[in-house]
Amino acid sequence: MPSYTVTVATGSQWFAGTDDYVYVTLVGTEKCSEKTLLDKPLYNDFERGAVDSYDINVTEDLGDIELVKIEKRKYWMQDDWYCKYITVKTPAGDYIEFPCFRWVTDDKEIILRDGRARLPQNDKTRVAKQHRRKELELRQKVYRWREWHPGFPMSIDANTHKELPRDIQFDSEKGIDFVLNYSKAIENLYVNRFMHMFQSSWNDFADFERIFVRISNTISEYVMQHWQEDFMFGYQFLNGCNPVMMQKSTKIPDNFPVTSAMVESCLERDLTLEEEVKAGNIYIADYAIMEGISPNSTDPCTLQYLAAPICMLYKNVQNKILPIAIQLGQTPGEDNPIFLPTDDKYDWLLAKIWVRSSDFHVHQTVTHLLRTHLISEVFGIAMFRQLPAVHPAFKLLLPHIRFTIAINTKAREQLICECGLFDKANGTGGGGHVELVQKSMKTFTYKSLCFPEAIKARGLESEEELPYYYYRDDGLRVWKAVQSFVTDIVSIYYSSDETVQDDEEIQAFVKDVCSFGMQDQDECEFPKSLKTREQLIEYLTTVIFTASAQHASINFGQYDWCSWIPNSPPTMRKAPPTKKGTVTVQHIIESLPDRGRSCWHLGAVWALSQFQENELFLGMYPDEHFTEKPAKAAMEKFRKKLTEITSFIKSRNEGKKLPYYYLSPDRIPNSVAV
Amino acid sequence: MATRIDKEACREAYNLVRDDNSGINWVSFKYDGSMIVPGGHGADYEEFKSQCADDVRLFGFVRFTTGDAMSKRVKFALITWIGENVSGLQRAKISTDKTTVKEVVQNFAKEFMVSDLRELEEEYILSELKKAGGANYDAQTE
Repeated sequence: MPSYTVTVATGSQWFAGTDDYVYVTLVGTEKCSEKTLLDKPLYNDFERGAVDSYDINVTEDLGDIELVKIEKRKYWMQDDWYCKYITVKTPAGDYIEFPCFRWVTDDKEIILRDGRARLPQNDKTRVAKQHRRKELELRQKVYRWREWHPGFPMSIDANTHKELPRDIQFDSEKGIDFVLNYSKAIENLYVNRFMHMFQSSWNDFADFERIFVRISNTISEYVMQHWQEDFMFGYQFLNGCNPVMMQKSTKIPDNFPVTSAMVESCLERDLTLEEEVKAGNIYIADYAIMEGISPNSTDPCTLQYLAAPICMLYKNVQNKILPIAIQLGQTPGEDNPIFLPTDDKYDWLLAKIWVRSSDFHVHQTVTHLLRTHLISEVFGIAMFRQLPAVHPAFKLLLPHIRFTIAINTKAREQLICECGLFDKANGTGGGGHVELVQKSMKTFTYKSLCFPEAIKARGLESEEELPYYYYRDDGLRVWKAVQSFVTDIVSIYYSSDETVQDDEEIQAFVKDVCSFGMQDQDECEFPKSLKTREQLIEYLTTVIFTASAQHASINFGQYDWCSWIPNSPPTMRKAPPTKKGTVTVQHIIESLPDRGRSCWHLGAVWALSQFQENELFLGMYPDEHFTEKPAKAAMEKFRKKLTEITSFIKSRNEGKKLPYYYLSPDRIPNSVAV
Repeated sequence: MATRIDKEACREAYNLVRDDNSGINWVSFKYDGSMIVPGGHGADYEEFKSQCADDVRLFGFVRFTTGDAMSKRVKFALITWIGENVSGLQRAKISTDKTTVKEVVQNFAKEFMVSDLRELEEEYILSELKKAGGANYDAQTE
């Protein structure tokens, strides 16, 4: 009698094990086995972390094993089971792997195909085709699109984390309870006393130190010491936590009438301002997107203000970036003076603070929320809806959207909802942040997510011109490594451009992203279809890079750059100045956030900057969805390249007072999960 | 295309149902392109139900009389009907569109999101409204 050996691996996370009855059926090309209960007498099967083996006896050879059916029957109470994989040893001695990595809940049946990745056109048998079709039908029922606010990228149809499909939930919901985490952060930072002191101003700048946890030899300490300096201000446009605003100027903006005479004392090359522009030494950071956004009005006792400033930056002879002119509003006029480094000390300081505050809003809501969190969720939902588990693109992308839909759902539940935590300390809380996303969606293009193109579009690609733009340098290295890896994988499964065009599943995937996720806007230019392998490679590289490197670069620097409140005020309590010569230190203190808000902000940036327990960094793929050698070799090669980049960055940073490490691959999580 | 609502026309219809003397017990709101407009009104709830086909999405504002031995009360329900065969895109936007409808339909005891005709049965809606209601004095007569 032929006998098959079935080896079952149970997940090692909490509650992954089960006491329920687990049945397996082997479906072969010739015959099926009986539905067999997997049970070893006097043994506790399927404990957390276990790998259990069972013999299945059959009367005749089953032929090639096409499917493995797993069924779970309740023993007593609800007892979900996380099955990692099943391996089948045939009578001939061959081993076939059936990856699973899913939760088996209720009395449902899970049907697995073996681990070899296949495009839809590769599946010829009726059994295989039907399995694919049924899987996608079910996934489209379970993963549904929903518009959270008009004009937003669409998100998952679920009101709470609990309502999400089990497979995409966090392992432990407590880990990402925002209210809990922010409160814990506040406690850890010993600032509880100030938590409820809304409307209470600090006494002076030094007073902020009472909530500032001084950890020596770090960037945050450096910021605290040097935040008033023009160099620090300019440096953040290159390597701070929002290094995406600065653009090379080709002409002086019409609505920002800076004259040569105004900035004469700042220029170092004996050139006029216009000549400096021609020479490519002038840069602009324009916060026009902030115009018309409603400030937070949720607290009747605290009036809050926003601005839409324009800032002119100069690259001096040492290639350092320095601010030389700031206008706090978009429309030039008498009430909208152009502030200069030659003005009164506190006029200039407040102007810079306003720019920093506006930068904070654009960073949080556009750079961070919209362009990493929300867009990654779009890719994730489209992936679940249109790519079956056997598709190579599913296996490739799955690790890069781990927990993304869940964290966003929690954010919609607790953070950015009406009366959420965001409203407590943010100038754009209470609706402004919604307006900002809606406005930004109108100019959100696909190309802006392709890192090298985005850098070029801002005129900043030249290493010669900007030798200290580490965000660009490290970002390009990581982008190239990801692209190379994706190219390797795509080459294994797609032999030509026709293969891409014939893959109806990958085409449906990009269509879902464009029609639903991006709401089919014409201007967004997200591809509606993919015609070549090159396009496919660029698309998949963009998805992976955005979820991993881009998010890391703009998220984990939040504590470093935003914990010193005056450097990154989350809100301002007085209107921007409309005349020069009126600002005092007291006025600045009263503009900056009060004690209560400062604490909540601090708790938030601390919590957001923490890696998770058991974080998976770029290139770590512990779940073997790909079982084939060439794919595994590509992963090995990818990891090696990333290690080289990590080393390079480490040496580059040696001896620097301000090292740049946000894009070091060993600090880039695979996905957006925080 | 953002969904809009013909506020005046819809408010008129809404007030018809709220008016104790009009005799109108239900009003529906349907889509005219991307604009929400009144779809019909009447005295018989069955008429409203007949508008709910499986390729249709619409909103209904319906008056019911509930209550127990001690008092009879009028209660209003906001019903969102989304047929099984409605497209994914329309389905995805129904929640934000409902928020737009609520700019006009502001007063109701309970809201319902329904895709199954069985959940539109008057008995079912009444029992849900009753649950949302509070104390039940009928216990004395049972």
